[in-house]
Amino acid sequence: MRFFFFDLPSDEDIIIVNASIENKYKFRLALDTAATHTTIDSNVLYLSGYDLKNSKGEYQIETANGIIIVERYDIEQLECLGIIKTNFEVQVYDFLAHGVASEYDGVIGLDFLRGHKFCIDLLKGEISVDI
Amino acid sequence: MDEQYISFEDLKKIYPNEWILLGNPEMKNTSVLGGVVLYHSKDKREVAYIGRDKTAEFSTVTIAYAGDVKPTRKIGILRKI
Repeated sequence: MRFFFFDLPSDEDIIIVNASIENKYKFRLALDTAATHTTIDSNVLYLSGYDLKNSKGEYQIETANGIIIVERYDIEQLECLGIIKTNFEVQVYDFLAHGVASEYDGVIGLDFLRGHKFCIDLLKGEISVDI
Repeated sequence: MDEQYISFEDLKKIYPNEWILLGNPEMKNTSVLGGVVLYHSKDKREVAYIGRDKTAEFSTVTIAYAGDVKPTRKIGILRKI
């Protein structure tokens, strides 16, 4: 069992977790159990050395603000909460181009966490993951 | 610690409300404590696109915002249809 810690200083804060691409590019994702799939900011993907012309295709995604179009890419190695996935497909979206400026770089979804037992303790600000 | 290392508290004073690309960042949980500044701008896209070529000599890199994002209430739904 591994433990990860987060802060929720106000009612408007969400759970942010660290993630990395190829164990080099560190970024922050919102842990969203209402997200079926992991979505990453296209700027972070580009920074991580990926060519944004190499999309596998598009998906339509339902969000709280309506339908959006995301691109699909395979990440060679994505790590989050101690879980490592290789050749993992993520959705990529240009959050900035669509007016979303936040301190995190996307959303870690249930597809990444599937197959793992994890517990979110809001009292301790702690996530435990059985890897 | 590398002499170019700058604490995040100082970065917020030097580059207020800018996105900063940091090499070998020091982290505590999800907070950035500091790092080596590779590029900075108020435009996150510029930081990613220009900064990419400056990361080769660093084992880890991250982008951090040297300011406070106004908190807003959120609804989290992302579902493939």
